[in-house]
Amino acid sequence: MAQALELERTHGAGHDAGDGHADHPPTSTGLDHRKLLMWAFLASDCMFFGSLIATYMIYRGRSESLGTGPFPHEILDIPYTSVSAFVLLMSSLTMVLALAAIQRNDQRGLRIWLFATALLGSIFLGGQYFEFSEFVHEGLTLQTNMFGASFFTLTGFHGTHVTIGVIWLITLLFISLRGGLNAGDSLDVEIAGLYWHFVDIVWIVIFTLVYLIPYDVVEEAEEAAATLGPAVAIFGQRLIGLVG
Amino acid sequence: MVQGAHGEAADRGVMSAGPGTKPGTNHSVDSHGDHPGELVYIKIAVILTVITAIEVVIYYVDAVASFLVPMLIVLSIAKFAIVVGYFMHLKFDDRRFSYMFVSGLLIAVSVFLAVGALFFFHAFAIT
Repeated sequence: MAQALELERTHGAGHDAGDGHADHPPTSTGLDHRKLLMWAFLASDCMFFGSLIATYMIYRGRSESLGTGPFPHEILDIPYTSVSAFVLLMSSLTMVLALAAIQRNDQRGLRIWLFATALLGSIFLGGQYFEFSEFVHEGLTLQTNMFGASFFTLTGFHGTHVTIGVIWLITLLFISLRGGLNAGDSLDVEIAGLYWHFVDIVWIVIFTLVYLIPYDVVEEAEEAAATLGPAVAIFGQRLIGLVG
Repeated sequence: MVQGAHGEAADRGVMSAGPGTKPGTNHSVDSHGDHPGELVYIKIAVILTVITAIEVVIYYVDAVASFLVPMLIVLSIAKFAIVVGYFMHLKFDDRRFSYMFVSGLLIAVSVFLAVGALFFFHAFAIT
């Protein structure tokens, strides 16, 4: 313990132990700022996707009143999307195995798992392309109805994130093949991994809220809210009257 | 080599001091010394797969239809937490990373609930 702390004093406080960035100056927080920045970005991306998912949940049930289909319960394919969700989950496993490989300087393992992650991500993207094509074939586009507009916007932005992730992973793979990644650069892989796992957790939420939660449940909730609404409004008015 | 030896030694020393070490100390707190091994990652992946399978199965089971939405939400939160905690290492890293991420997540959830309330309870409008 004492020896470890002495080593820390010798090398400075700012770098990530074991990441090999000994030439980095100490940071004011004692944390690696690249990693902190990635977490800050992911926090902001949470807000981005939170807004998109909220918009989808609001709009998906409002197309029926306009009478323009297709509607979610007619078109969403749960078994097909379940396979896509499984593929993306497995890509998270291969990503974390790539990180474990570089941390023990296992170059072959790193390349295999980076390639596997990029491949699984590409399979997911291929699946999404096929799904989008099918939907368009069945008459659902961005312009068809509110469900189409919010669905394609939400899942399209997620797909864009996956695409960026795949490009990032392939770039890391090429750098590794040129001998540019070793155990000292594990933070580079870790930061890419944070981004990739985030893409996975966003899909976990989308899979549940967009695909699995039944369409009629949202409809029933809206009807209940519409019934409950006036009663709560009257209660609120009386409360305000009492306070006033 | 020096760096590697330093990393391993410092990992053990720093991580035993616990996460959330104060800024300005000599502790490198975002180290990966306590990250789980590959076997743990595989076990986690199996758990995630089982949870996903349960989600899909209960979607088709009429007997749980009345509890379907809460069950799906709980299972989804469990998967989310497992991936963030183990694959993204928040469970093992410095707590300030968690604070950073959770702050954004809380704002996202708040926006989600606020927008939902605004539209679902549009009849609340007091004229």
